[in-house]
Amino acid sequence: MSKKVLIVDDEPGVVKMVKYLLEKNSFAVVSANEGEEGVKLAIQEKPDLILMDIMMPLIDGNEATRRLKENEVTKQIPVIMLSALGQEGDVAKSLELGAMDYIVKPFHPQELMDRVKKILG
Amino acid sequence: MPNEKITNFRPKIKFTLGFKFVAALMVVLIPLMLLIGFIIIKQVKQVVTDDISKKSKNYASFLAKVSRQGIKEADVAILKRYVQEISGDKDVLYILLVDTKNKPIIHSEKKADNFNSALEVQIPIFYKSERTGTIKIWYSLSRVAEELTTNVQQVLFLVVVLGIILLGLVMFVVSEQMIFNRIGKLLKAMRRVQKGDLSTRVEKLGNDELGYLAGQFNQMVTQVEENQQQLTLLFEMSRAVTAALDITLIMDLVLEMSVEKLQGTSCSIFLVGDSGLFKMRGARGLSTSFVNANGIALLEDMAQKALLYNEPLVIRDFNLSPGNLSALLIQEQIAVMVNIPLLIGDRKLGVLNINSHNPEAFPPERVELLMAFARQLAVVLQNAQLYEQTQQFSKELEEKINIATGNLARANERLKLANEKLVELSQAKSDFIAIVSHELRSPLTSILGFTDLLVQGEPGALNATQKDFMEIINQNTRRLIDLINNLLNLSKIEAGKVELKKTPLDLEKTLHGVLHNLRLTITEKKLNIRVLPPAEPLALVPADENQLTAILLNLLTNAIKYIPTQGEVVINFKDAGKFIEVQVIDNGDGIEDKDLPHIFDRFYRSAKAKAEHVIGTGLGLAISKLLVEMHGGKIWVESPVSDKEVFNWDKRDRNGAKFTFTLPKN
Repeated sequence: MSKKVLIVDDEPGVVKMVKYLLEKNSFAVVSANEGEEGVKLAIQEKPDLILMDIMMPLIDGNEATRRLKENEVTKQIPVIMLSALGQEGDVAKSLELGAMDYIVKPFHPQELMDRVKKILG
Repeated sequence: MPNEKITNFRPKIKFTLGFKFVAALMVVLIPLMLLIGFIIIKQVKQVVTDDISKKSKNYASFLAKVSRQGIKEADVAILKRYVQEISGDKDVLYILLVDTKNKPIIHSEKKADNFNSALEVQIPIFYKSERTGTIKIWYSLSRVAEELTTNVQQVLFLVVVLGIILLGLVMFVVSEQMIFNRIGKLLKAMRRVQKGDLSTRVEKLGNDELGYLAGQFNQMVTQVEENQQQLTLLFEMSRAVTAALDITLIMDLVLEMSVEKLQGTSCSIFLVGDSGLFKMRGARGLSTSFVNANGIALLEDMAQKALLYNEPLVIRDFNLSPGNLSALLIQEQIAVMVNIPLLIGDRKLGVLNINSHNPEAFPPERVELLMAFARQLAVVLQNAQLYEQTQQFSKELEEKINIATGNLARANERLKLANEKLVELSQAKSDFIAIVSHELRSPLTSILGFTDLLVQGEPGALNATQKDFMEIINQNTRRLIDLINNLLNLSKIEAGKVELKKTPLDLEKTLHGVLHNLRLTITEKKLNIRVLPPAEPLALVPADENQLTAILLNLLTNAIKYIPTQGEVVINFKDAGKFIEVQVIDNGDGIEDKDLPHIFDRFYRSAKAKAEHVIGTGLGLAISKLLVEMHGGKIWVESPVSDKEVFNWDKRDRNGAKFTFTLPKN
């Protein structure tokens, strides 16, 4: 059974591009376009990995990650942040909240796949 | 000061005059009484002695009478009986009957061993005019002494002592009434005066010397009291004026006091102004008619005279003055006019004028007081004038300062506003760049991702033209991303948001990290990168690894961009004392002279770079410069490279460029 990846990003282009990449690499993909929906979907779908944007309407990626890490069902799911915020402080903050990796936008597709494969094996 | 000594000389009275008087009286009375006593005793003694000697003569005469026969008839027995009988008198000490040849015939028993203090009586015995012998009787005087001591002397002593006491008492009482009582009153009054009660007067003490003394004393105290009042007045007035600093206030005080305390009916003050103008500055008690009749000019005239002569001008007899003058003054009922100049040394400040209806007013001592007061007043006025000038000066100064401060404050305010505006603008710029950069990154993510995928032929192979176009899109996307990243870095550095995390760094190691990142480009362009080994092992340099990486990356990227394929880049480290020098030298075309001064300016790109379509943002060198300077180092460029032979380059070869930056060792 293929591994399931949840993409949470409000940018449809990015979602589409990442989804294409992942499916091409035989991953099952679900997506949400804002934090709250992302958390709901994560509890519901129990994906193997979550790719999380930070700057989103309603609740941002950091808050969503914090909620996921507080929830018994989702706290074990690894999270990779995908964000246009590239400052050291931004990275540190997210890693502190429990994110496993941090990829600064824009990124090369190959780079993303390398990191995803590293976690999902 | 002799006066002080006299005032302080207050002898304690040890022995009152009364005591001394009685003592002196005793000195005279006691010997006198003793002398009188002595004389009385002498007299009494004489009487007693006479009495005794008379008695003993009687005994002797009796014996002599009875003896005449006895001796003749030698009737010794009879004589013996008589002698026996007489010697029974206890005062008779010894009786001796001798014949003419002094041969004892009959004698009594001796009652004493010697008869020094005895009375000796000798009576011759005659028988028919013929002396037959002598009767000798020694009579004791001890009884006399006994009698005197026991009775007479006691009485006498009593009388003498009583006499002394009585006489002394009488003398004392009389003298007390006559002299000491009155002296005591004088003394008491004097003590009260000494204690400061100047209202003390001595009651009338008669017409003798003491009475005169009391009168003199009263007069003296009256004088002192008057002087005291004058001094008090002077003191009060001086104190009142010295307490004030404002000239108007001082003049008000003086004018009021002149009327109230100095019994003036009217008064005025004239002052010499700054311009030398002599002018009345204030007045009290002058009638309107006097003022209307040009009385002020008259007063001014008189005051000016006092000022001219430098001494007080007191006018009592106005008949001696010109008619017009006296008429006006008489009409104003001015009987006495006093003008006292106000002087400090030679400086004439003005005149104090006081007038009175009372012709007796202002006796010489009062004028003296006024002069003393005028001296004080002059000093006070001068102080007030100085104070006024100082106040004026300080006020002007304050105004000037206020104006200057106001200007300064306004300028400051403008600067502050401008500064705030600048800070705001700078912040807005930073915010703008940050936001724009982030907002640009998200869409660029999908552009970069999709073009990457298309170029790689992931969704399906493109034909040659499509691929070429897609590569251009992809390349420009990367360029855009570089630009955004650099812009973001620059704005961060400029906003002071970049903090250096310095750690001791091995520069060679950092350099190799950077070269590793660039390996693809290097291989692609077939470049020759040479890192010259340093003469001595390099010291560790305190620097921020990320930023140093950025500096090296920028300089190397820059060098790589401008050298042709198979070109060479040399990296050289040099120990320059306090600094480590890092040189990045390329053998490219070099930099034109007109570009050299601007090479580190942001967005500056040489005309040549633009013409040759060299990809770049024009921010890399600017960022590098900022970062080097943040580390306390310097960066500069040199082109053409002067020491090409060091790098084994042909001198006819391309100019090349040498970028050098320094990092402090500490």
